[in-house]
Amino acid sequence: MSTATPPEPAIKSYFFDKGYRDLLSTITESWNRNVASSREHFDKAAHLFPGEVADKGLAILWGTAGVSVVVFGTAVFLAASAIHITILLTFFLLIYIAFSLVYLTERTYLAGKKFFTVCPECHAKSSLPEHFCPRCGEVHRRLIPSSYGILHHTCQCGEKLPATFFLKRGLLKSRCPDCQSLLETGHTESRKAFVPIFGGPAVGKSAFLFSAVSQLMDYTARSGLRSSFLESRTENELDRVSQQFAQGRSPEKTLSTLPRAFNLKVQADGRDPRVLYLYDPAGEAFNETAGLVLHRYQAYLSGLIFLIDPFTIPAVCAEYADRLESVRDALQPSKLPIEDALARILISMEEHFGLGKTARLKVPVAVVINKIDAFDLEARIGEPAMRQRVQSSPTPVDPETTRDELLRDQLCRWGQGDVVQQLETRCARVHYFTCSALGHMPDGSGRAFEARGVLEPLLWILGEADSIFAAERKRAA
Amino acid sequence: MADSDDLGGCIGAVLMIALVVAAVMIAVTALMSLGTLFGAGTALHNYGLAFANNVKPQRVRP
Repeated sequence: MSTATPPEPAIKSYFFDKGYRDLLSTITESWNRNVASSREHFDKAAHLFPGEVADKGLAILWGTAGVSVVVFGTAVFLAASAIHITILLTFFLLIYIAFSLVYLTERTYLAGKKFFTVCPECHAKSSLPEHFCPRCGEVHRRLIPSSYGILHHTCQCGEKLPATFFLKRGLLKSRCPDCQSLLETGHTESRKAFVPIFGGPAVGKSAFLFSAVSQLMDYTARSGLRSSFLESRTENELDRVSQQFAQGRSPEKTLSTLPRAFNLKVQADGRDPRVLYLYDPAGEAFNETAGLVLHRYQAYLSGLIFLIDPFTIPAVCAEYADRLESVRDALQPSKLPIEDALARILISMEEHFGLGKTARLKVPVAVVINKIDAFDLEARIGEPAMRQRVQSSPTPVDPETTRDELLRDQLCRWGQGDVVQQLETRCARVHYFTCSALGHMPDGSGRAFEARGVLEPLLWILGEADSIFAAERKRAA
Repeated sequence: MADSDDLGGCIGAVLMIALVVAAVMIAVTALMSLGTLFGAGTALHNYGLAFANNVKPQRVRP
């Protein structure tokens, strides 16, 4: 199987391609012309030599001319060929150095800015997407400074395409080199944060995602940042789910174990755009370790949100047993135990991410207990409980630390000490949060859903991953 | 007196021979130079024609 790069649908630089074909044909033709010239002179000499003295003199002259063409003509031919080759090689070298310098400058600049391409569809990371010629639609696989041009490539249709980031190459239509999905400029030329939301089936990941995005957009507007969608598809999806929320309807269940990323672009004045990649894989992905979606985008993870349904915990179910049955349909407790979901994440990390059996995951992990709107959970473990603890403390305490202690203790009391221990030993940075991704249980009343506590975990992870969010979070705090 | 005439004639003859030899040498050198220039010029002309016939910019697809 050939691994050679297929040729680009562009015209190669003269000094890398046609120049050498021209050189060869010039040298061949020039040599043939010299041979023909000398043969012509020798033929004339041979024709005149048998004649009179004057003819003999002329014959000697023509013969000498023939010898001169052979001797000096060959010398001049060699010198001219050498000059031709030298000029070609000099330009070849100059262009090679020039495009290498431009390419290296571009790579260094993009690496410094932390720009790279990630396909929202197949999650493949690449340094360069494939670009379309705006005139003929041909696909240019490597639109970079190269032997096809230092700053521009000329498509075979004649269209000049910018071959570098500095000339706004990103404005060309592009696609993923792996799955050929269409990409937007933001998928390539932006800093990115990748936050998957993990948890078993029915823990409320989709509701969390849409509520968090909705609240993040409000938050960015308040903070003087601008947020926008990269694709109208995403915007329509959020609009549709927001309408469902307004009517008190839950979002549909995610079916894909490897869904398309939900992208949101956030930009501050004078700063590079940030594009968030939020993932909401179907909880079924956790039923089998081998199919765990994590391995596709774990290589560039910014952090992860581990969503917990407290009603998967037997102790919680036992505590609310008398009231649970009447709301079971509305509550839809997840069936995958928390320790199993966590174990599968860690196993996948070990298998695909190179995480050692005893090593700690360096990315921030937000452990979020969802569905605290049920019964009296909010009063027991939600923000009111945290504030009460802070106020009752004799010494000033950090609210975040207090929240961590409160939730850690509660999880241990519910018999999830092993989960807490696993989280603390395997994850270097863990914070605990509570939320209600819907705001209240789906009761069919049509009352609008209003999420609580979904933004904080996301903001914490984004703040850990990116200074722009860290600064905003600090300012807000 | 006769000795000095002989010497003068001898010198004159030598000078004449030298002049003739020099003239022949100049002529030969000139012819050689012309021959060289002719050969070199022909080759240069041939290279120029070959260059003009073969070195053309790349053309885009119509």
